Amino acid sequence: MGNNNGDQVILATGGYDHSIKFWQAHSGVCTRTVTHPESQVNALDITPDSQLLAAAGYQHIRMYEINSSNPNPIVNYEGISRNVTAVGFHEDGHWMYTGGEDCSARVWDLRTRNLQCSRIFQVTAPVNCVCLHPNQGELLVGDQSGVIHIWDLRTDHNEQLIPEQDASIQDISIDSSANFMAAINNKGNCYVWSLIPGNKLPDGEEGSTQTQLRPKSRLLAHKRYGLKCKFSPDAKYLATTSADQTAKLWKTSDFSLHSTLQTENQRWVWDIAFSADSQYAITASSDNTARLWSIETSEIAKEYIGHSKALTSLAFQDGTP
Amino acid sequence: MFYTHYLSATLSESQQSIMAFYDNKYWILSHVRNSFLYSDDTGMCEMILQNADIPKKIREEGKKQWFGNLDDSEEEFDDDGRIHTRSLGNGNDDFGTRRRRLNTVVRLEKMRKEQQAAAMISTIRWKEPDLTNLDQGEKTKIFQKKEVVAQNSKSALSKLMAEHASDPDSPFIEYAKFDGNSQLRAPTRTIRIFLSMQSAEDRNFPMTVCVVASAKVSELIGLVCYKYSHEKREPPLTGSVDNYALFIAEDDGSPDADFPCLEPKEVVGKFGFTSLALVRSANPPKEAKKDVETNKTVDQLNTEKPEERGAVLESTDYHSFKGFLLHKVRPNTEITLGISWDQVEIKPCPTSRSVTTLLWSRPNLKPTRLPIEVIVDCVPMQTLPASVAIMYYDTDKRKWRRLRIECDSKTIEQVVAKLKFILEIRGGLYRQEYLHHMSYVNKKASLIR
Repeated sequence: MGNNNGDQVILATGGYDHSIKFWQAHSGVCTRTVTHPESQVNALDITPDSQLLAAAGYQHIRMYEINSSNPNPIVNYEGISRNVTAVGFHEDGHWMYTGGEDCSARVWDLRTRNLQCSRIFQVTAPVNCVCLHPNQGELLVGDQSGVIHIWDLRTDHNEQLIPEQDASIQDISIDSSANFMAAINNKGNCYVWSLIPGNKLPDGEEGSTQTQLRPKSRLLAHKRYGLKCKFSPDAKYLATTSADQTAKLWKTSDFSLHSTLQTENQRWVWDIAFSADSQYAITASSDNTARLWSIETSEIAKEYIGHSKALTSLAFQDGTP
Repeated sequence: MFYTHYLSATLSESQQSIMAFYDNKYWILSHVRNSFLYSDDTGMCEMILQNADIPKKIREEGKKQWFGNLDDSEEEFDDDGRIHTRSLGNGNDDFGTRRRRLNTVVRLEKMRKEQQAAAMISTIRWKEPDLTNLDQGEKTKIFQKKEVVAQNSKSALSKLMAEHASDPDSPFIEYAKFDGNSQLRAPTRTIRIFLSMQSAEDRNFPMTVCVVASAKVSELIGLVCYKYSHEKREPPLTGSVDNYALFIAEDDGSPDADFPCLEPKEVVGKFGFTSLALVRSANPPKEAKKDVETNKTVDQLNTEKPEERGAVLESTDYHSFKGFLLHKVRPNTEITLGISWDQVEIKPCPTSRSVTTLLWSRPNLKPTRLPIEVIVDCVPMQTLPASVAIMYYDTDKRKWRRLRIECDSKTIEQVVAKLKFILEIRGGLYRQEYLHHMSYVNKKASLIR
């Protein structure tokens, strides 16, 4: 599936005001508003072909057309109970993955309407985050009881690890070269592992063994709830966001603090995304505003003002110039 | 209580029979349902009651009780037992009821639209995976691991940021959010805005703006300014929204001087104008409000600070000045010069009562009114004592004429400033011709020298 709008820069934000706004990232102007009735937006993600935006809400995932003026979703995925807290896509757009408060992670087959290849992975606590390994074959699932599950989609084999007892895993991130994995919990602590890819199976069998994790570092990143963690595309930085109203950037070379993105009006920083060249970061905050930050100067380059309630998630896809 | 009254009003037209209310099951049911309908603002009751009928038995019994065996009783009731709210021409309608009914209709429409929109959404329900059918080959194909490749690190965002870094951050960008086009479902107003600051040709092509109805006039001005800067129209705007005002536009796009400018704090949704004109006024409207509807005398003007005065004059309000109209042969006459947005008026001042003036004052000293269109220029004259000359085109005699008014220097300044300001904006063909003629004359004169 080719990237039809490869040069397009897409920025969408959503939260509690029952609307999702699309922005012209370089000017701060809101170009379109779509409706997301009756539920807050928990997570947003853009399909790899830049055609659709997925919004995870209460008991549903709604898909919106990006290049259209239709204010309503075009597809509604339902049949789940309680909040869907995470959503993402396979790089070829063949399937979508979600995680939810119903203690499950699911794979939705997008090739057909009847969800031929759907999969489900049950855990024992509500799922807060789901991360797809860049190898497209493993899902990392973080739950409220503090467990990280590694689910091999081909074999259904899974491993578990608990970085900190009873500390709810809020977010998991893997850098694009699959060298590191980070997980942040509700105590504000961020754990980092080195990833060792699985070995090729003997005798020419298809596939490989599971990725191994080797603990690398623990960052006492924030004194309050951690909300999101994300590696920059060039893997130089690890960003962590928190209820302490800041987003922090850590150097991955030695895990020292590089800079703090904060400003007076900013409240809880619920989400963060990087530009493709790791020069800019965009944050979404519960002060109803999203902000574009220059990584080099830690200054705000643009503010996206227009929502009337707290923002809890953003989706950003940088284009190729 | 009013509902009971209404009910009796409806029925009194066709039924004079005994109205047994509270021991009629059918009536109670209808009454309760209708009360829910009328008092429910969310429209939920309407939705539910649409599909729920009153049981047939109760309905029949109730009707019989009410109407005996009259056959035309059927008309009174819908199938679900709701009492018809016909509009009665006899004025018995309770206006409140009708309004509530209209609200319900509006809400029904809204719900119907939402249902339609919902019908356009395809719904896919989660299907429990059937692992027996899913063969290993298929699974491997879909979920196989891939080689991790280096990501492209070129950023279109950075490129756009760099390209637009040199753009001065539009001072009006905060008003972009009032654009109705990017809003959802909010009521909007689409207005044509004529931009008086543009050149004569450009002025005829108004800008169409869609603004949210809840925006204030000052915010609409901001949005117009934002779009103006964004579209890089010429000449560039200066100042802030406080320096601009919106007027009702006439057919040709010029501001209508009969009405004052739109109050900046008013909500745009209140108005139904389709065409407005944007005008630059040097003073913030707040200051102008100080002397609206009052004719300021020279004394009042003299007591004000010069800066304020200057600001006040460059507005569209009416101002009057005192001076003496100079004539070629007659003695000077004391007059009041009134300058407003659309005319210049010279009124004789009946102040001096000496015999001489009475003798000399003739009926020909009627007030002179000159529409702004014929005023071509206003210049201070280097005479002693100082005076100001107002040149105008006499349409009857078909030539340019000059009025000379003697007054103190401060007044001269003010008169010149005010008229020049008005002529800037409202100067018409006569003024253009005059200026053209004068430049030709001056050129000739300089050549001779």
